[in-house]
Amino acid sequence: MLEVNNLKTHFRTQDGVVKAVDGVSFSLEAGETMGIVGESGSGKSVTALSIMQLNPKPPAEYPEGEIIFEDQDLLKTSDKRMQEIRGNEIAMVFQDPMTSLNPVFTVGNQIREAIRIHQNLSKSEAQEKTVEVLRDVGIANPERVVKEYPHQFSGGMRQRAMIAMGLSCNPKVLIADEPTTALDVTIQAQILELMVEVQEKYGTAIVMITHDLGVVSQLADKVMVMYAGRAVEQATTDEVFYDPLMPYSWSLLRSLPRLDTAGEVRLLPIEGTPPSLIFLPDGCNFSPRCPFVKDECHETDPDLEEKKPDHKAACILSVDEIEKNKSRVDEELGVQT
Amino acid sequence: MTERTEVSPETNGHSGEYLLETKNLKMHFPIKAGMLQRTVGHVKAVDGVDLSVRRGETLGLVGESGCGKSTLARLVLRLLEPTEGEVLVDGEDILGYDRKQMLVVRRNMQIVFQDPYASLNPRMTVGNIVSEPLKIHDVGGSSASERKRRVQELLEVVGLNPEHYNRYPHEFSGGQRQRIGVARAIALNPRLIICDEPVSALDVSIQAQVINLLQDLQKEFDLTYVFIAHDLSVVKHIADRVAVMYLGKIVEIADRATLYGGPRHPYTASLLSAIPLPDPQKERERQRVVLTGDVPSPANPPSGCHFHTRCPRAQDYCTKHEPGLDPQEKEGHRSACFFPVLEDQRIEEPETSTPYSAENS
Repeated sequence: MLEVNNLKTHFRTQDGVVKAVDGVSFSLEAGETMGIVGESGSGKSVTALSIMQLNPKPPAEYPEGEIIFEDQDLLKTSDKRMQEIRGNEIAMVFQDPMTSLNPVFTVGNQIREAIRIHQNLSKSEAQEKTVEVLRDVGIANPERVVKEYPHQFSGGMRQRAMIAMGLSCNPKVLIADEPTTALDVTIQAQILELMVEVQEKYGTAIVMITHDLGVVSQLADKVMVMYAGRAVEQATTDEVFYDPLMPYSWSLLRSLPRLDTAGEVRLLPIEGTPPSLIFLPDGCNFSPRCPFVKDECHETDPDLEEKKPDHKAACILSVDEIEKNKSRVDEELGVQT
Repeated sequence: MTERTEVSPETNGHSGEYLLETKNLKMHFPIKAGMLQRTVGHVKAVDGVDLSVRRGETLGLVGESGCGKSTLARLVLRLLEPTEGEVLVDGEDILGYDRKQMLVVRRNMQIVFQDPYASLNPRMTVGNIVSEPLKIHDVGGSSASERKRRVQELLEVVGLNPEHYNRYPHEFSGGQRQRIGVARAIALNPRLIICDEPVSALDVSIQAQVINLLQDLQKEFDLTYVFIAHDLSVVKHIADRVAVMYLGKIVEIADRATLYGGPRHPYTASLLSAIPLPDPQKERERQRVVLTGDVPSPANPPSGCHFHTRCPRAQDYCTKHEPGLDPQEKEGHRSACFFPVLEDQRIEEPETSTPYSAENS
């Protein structure tokens, strides 16, 4: 349904070209959930904004690639057509529910606006629909709540309202950019449950952007791990979590205190910090921080290649070498696998 | 590291089990309204907390936002004056201390803040930031060069390049800034460090660096931590004992294994079940209890047990009576619930509607 091929999103700045997204490809079917994982600045959000065509142009430019949604390339569609798609067929839920709702309009007003732009409904029909979607996302007393302003909502309710707005036109694709990061765990659980319900009901395809590996393992069918603007590993969720073949994904999993093993093993931090996107390191982008680094890594920039059926990773090490390295470090850390 | 800061005899003489204790600590912030700014109510941010921290241990403090964790931290350091209660350091109530006495106490109690972007003065160099406590307390050498040496030593201890002495905070990444915050906190060789969400603003890969640093420092300098976080996995990793807060009260406290292995309070149990595990297989098999609704306002907490509005086990009894933090069978395990989750019970259904108590079971 949605197919992204070799997407490149670059930003021209005074200091140089920032390659925020540099050759990312993936595809998504109806009813499927894909997780995009990565640290801040790895290009997760820019990928999402590129699909929505919401990156400001300039400075953003798309030197290469295509985003195919229902047989049309979104990078080449007119602004007018994009208006029709955005919010209607592809919707987005943003990270911070505090800043993404307009404080001077009632919540009902804002959802109704989205509905009326895309659907040919009268004001009162749109109002009914608004109440309906708010009820759908589990807000109590929607008839009263539509008249309230965002500040009268709690964080969880605002995020529900954002999801209601995103779903108001029954989109085919929902892009959720860190939808639960600003929320407490109990509220997060509510929102994630809601997203699963909605997906089952409407068959929506979801792109779930998050840095929380737990959220991904709970929701996603497949995962794309991003590092410095590139996809460095792509596979099913189980493959990525149980048999990661890119040292970065593996290190991320080992650097995480886990509820099931916490306190028993020492964490393996990833040394250093993510590279600047203007001055990328020579060779593999991850080589300065990689625990399995070899001399060749500083010279060769690995492509994302199929290491196993349906499991792509960008690393010059062979599967055997990676497995050996993983068990060696695991032994030092005392991890039981 | 150089010699440990000498601790004044008044505070060092005590060698009781607890380094820090709070007794019935309360912080009620007044709500003012109207033209005359009359007090119309109180936000009970911390509402009767009894807590004791043993020497050398890490006490984890968890809870959702607004439950009073950070206020409690500030009360302990006397950055806020409590409405009621006592804060005992080495068995002595510090709330009656004057400025001079507080200075001595504060040397032993430091804090690492959550946001490494807001807690470092952008106009001061790293050297000045880390040496400021040394100047204020007049330790670590009187001359500037001695102090500089000490600061460089500290920077090295926390894994920063000592050459970066003259740099400003904006030149560092989030993880490095948090290291600067840690260096400042350990500059005086304190005995207690309050870590208020020290890693929640950091990326996962960087989180691990700071957590490992805190653990190494604890071993090296024999530190006692009060570790505040909303992330229960992080707390499980670092804490020896864990206290769970809800609406200004401690609802459960136990050693790590007991609290994570057999939580008694339905709130703790649901919190634990709400955390997504980075393990797809376990995620699919898990039974999750999703709490409904939001945390009620601390200005107007529910009657009886504060948790009854969201509790899957709540009975009529809970709306009328307030549970105390009662001891459970395991030593040191306390839980404030009339219908605690017993072994092999589902969180949702209490077996009886008669309140449970550990003594008569």
